Amino acid sequence: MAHTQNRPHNRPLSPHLSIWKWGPHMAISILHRITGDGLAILGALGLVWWLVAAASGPDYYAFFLNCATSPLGYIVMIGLTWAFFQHLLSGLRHFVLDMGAGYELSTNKAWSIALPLLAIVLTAALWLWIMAENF
Amino acid sequence: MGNGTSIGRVRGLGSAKSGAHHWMIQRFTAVGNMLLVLWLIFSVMQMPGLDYESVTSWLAQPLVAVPMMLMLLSIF
Repeated sequence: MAHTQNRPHNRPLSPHLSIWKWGPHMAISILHRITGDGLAILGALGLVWWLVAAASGPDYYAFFLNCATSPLGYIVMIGLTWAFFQHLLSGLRHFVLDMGAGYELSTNKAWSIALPLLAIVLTAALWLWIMAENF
Repeated sequence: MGNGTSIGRVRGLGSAKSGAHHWMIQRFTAVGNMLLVLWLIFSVMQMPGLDYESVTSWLAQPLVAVPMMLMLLSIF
């Protein structure tokens, strides 16, 4: 890289992750990214698998249902619904931040704590509803 | 580009000039994803069962197939 040779020495680098004390706003930011990746990779694979299984005929669909309703299948589905609610709520937070609102330290902190808790409550409510309907 | 003075490098490398468009598209698809995935979750919850017959006859309806295709376009 040609331009590294004439870079002046001893210039300060911008501060990075290691120097900051962790707070809720950092946690919700990284949660948004992790749940987004999880939805994009696992969620998309699961959704496409379900649609392909439905298109492939009753035998293959039965095999799919068998996998989806195994203990691991439930763990993945509960994980995906949590990831969805978390990503939904922190995504809505980003829409508010895009408008330039909610940057006051106390407001930002309050929402960063409240939204992950709300995501857990919504996930629990959804699965309790599913269990109440089906078992 | 990139071999001159420091300021010349900054100007030459600059922005790609497509950031605002990308920013808008990200927000549009985000709203699309939110509405369509919520639709998927509530539809699946409303279905009488998730067996082969229910799922294929559900997907065969135009009012289900079209939002499903829109959702796949939006989320990918």
